[in-house]
Amino acid sequence: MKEQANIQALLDRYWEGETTLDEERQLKAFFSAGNIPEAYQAFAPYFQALQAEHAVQLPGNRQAVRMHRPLRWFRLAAAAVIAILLTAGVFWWTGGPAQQEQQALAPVMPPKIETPQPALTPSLEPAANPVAESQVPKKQTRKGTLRKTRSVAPEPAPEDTYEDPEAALAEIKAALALVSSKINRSKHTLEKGLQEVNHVDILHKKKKETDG
Amino acid sequence: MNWTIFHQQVFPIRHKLYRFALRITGSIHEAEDVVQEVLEKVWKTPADQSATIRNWEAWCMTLTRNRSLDKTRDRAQRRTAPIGQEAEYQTDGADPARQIEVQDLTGQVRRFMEDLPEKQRMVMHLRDIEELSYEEIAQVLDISLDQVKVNLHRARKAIRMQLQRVFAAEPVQTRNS
Repeated sequence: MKEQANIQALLDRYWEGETTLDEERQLKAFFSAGNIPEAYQAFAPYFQALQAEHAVQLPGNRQAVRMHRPLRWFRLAAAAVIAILLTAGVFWWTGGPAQQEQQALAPVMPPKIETPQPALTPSLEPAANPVAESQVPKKQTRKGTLRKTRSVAPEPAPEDTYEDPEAALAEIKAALALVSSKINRSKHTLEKGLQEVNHVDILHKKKKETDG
Repeated sequence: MNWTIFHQQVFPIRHKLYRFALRITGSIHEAEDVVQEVLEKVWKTPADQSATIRNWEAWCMTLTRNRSLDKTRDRAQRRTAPIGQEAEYQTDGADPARQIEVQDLTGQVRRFMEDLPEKQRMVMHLRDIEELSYEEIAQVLDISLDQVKVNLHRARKAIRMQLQRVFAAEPVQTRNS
């Protein structure tokens, strides 16, 4: 009874606009708790609705407000640095303009294309096997086209083919080690560049905070 | 605009801004647009101006009120009105049955509130839904404390009459369990 009298007093003051925020919260709690006396049930939907209205949220698809603008400049800068370093690394790795020019000319140099064939097919002597002679050039022409694209190797001369497999393996290992060292060097340069970009980013944020 | 302030004080109140815009415009889409525009405007605030702002929430609410009223007036000039959007209201409740029940109740109360004059509607929303103090309401709406109290009193009186008229004539099944 005492609680009901209290609620009645609170309601009277509420409708007059005289309640405090705490008292209004008490009313909302009372009407959302259940076991509401018959006399007050007409107001229950109202106070429950107020709380339901408070739970209304901005629809999910609009919550992703564009908030990444401050990082845009740094991201662009970082992307540019990475792109430049990668381009330079690839350019350097492939040997620069001199070798590229050589590579461009390589396909039109016929001796380098034709010479591997005798070594690969030693039994097909032109004089001893005329049938093979008539067939081989066709095959060679087709294979030759494929080989043109492969002739970009730094040392394409077939005469340099190693007879000792171990020596060939050692040479391959040496070549791969060289490539690996150059990749590592490019990676190191890239990491240094990224560290500098991150450092500038942190300084920029600190400056903004002190300015703001 | 300070990135930290934006993250800590402005972005978290986006739902509050949305509800306020929704109360004024009555349109989900216009309210969403208002919030987007307000957040962008706040973000683009020059550093010298943002240094003078002490209460970001009140300032954002004021921007929301102004932008929402602009939208409402633009719409009035175009003689169009939002329709059939109540069912799209999104709450954080998980129980579908409870959501339908709440939507039914809120739909009736919302209609009562929509019928109120503009200023009474805004004052009532800020007090009864967002739980702002009279001083904060006066600041957001740029009116005096007396005007806040008078408008709140009138709004509640009108709502009470509506509740007594409708629910006394046709008792509503309330959720007492």
